[in-house]
Amino acid sequence: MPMADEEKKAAEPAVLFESVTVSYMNNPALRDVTVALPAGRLTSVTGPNGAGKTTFLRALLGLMPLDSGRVLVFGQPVDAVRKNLAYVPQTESVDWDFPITARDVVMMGRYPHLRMLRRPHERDHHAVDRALERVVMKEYADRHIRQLSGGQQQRIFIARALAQEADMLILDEPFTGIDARTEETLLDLITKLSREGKTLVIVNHDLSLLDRFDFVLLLNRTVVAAGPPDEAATPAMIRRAYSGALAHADYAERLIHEGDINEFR
Amino acid sequence: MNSVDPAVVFSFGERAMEAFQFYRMQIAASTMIGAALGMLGAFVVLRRMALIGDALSHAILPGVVLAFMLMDFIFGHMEGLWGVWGLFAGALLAGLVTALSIGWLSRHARAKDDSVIGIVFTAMFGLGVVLISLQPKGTHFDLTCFLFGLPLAIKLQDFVSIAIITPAVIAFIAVAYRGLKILSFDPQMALASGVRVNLLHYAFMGFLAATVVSALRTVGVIMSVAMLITPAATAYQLTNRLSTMLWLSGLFGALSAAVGFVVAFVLNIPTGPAMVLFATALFGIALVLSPKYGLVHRALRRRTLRRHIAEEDVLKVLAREERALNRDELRGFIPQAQPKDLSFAVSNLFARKLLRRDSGTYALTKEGLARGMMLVRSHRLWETYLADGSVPLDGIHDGAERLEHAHNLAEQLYQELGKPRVDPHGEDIPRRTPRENAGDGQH
Repeated sequence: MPMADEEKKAAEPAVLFESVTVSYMNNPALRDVTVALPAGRLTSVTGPNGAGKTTFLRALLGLMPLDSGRVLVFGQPVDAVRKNLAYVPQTESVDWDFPITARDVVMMGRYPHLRMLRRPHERDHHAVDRALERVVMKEYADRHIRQLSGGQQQRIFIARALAQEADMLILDEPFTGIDARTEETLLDLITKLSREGKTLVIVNHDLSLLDRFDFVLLLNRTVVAAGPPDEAATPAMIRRAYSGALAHADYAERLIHEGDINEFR
Repeated sequence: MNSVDPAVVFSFGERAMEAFQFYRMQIAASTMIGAALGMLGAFVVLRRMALIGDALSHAILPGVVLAFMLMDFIFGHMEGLWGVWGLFAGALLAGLVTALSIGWLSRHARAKDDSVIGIVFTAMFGLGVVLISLQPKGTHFDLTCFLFGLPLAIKLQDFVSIAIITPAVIAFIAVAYRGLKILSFDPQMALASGVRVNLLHYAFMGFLAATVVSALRTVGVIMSVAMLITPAATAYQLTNRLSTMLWLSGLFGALSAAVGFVVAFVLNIPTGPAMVLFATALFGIALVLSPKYGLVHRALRRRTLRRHIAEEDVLKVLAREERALNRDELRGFIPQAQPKDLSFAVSNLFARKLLRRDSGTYALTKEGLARGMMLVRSHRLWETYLADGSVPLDGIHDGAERLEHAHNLAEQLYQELGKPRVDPHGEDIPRRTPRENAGDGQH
């Protein structure tokens, strides 16, 4: 059976973008993106600031209306597989003063499985305990989230994703604002998870980490390169991704949006 | 001695009893609405919606006035349940118009979100005041009552509407608790995991508008904002759990309404403001005395830490200098400590037998020396860590001077740095003694 699963996984991409264009207020943030991300692998979504990495994530999570194209996750529309997607936010976007303990945060991962008004079942508590053990955070579980170090805060949110028992984990810039050793611990954990069959899609702008991934998507408003790091993350490709692609197109779009007739006379 | 005149106390109690006797229904209504506002307020505070709550409560005025005019036109009065439901409908309509125009403007106009809120709610309020002035002579719409409330005038119909809306709010929060929690804490995850965020948000705003309308007669529009924010802000200082914050907030809201009502009656002062001032007093008490975040406890914790640090500084300096020092020398080596903390530290170290006096100078006992060496070790490990993190060499000493007190963490650094033997200045990093291995990092 495991063999069959493996084969199926290899055949079917975890994420499929087909000619996806997304824009904010008529400003295209992603243009005609077509890419397939492999299942059960560690993927880095990489590109310069404003390359549309966050938009890519939001489109993947089904949080943005698409202008055109479609997104499939495990072969289905996102809405059909939401429970199977776990999202780990950027640490800067979290309200660390919220009245909540580490265990509470992890329990949130069980919410999609809980029925309204029902209290968490014993099974849910077990899932939370297992997730906490998995990220070595059990002894800190009853602390307020403010009382954790940066790396521990990161791990608690990963534990939340694990408690959700989703097949795909989507991490937004997990390597920002942590020191080199914490980064190493985090990479170890992430790599282990992907070896266990989880699909991980990670927004990451640290070029020095690319060879630690199975698959790299170089993004600059559209797909610059996609593939294993030794094919996609070559110096030439990276230079291309980081050289203000489509800047003129953006400028023209903005003028059109503003109705600035002078440039068009 | 200045003691309180027993006659005054007696008459205070008597007047309070009178309030309970004649205004039981009004007190019960105020208490319920205080609880409802308090519980909704917990989420308003956590979602940083204080300004929106303020806007909403002001913006319902034109809706209320329109409903009043319409009711007056159809029935010739505002009495009975029709009056109450008409008022609700008008307020909800105005609330909806406000929410939609704020949303539309912030997407399409070149204006910041808070400016948009400011523009819309003052415009709605202005419109309401104009509508009042257009009333034919003889109709009586009391703007002051709208603004500040008049709880003594709560009628049975108001009581009934409050007795419906309060349990409804509690039921809504119970049903939507997890959704509201995740929406407040992590809206992205709420969206990603399929929580119906828009539905939840507008349901919440609807309950908020309905509750504020019900609160019109108790505290009035201006004060209802305070009853929304203040009890919740008080609870926020006392707990690290959302569920606790929620019921504490409801409790403070209810208590403020009840106590405010009675005190206002006894002292013959306006009721709404009395409720708000009592809520503010609770906030002040929590601000000063909260065991977690209160000013007093924080100051005490800081003092304890300061003294602890002064003690460790004394131990470290004596261990590093490897000789006995007199009082002035010790002060010179530890300029960052306050003299008072230093004296306290020295006498405490004597008491704990870590320090001994040697003909006018201070020296370490055997155990004191072990502790001191551990701190020297910690200091040098932190210097190594800072230098490793590219902090310039002339800056690492000052940094380590503070960080050395985190000596348990320093042991972790020792492992991570690959067990260094010398610090960046070339000084030996003392070995860990077997004694400390037994583990006494706690104090």
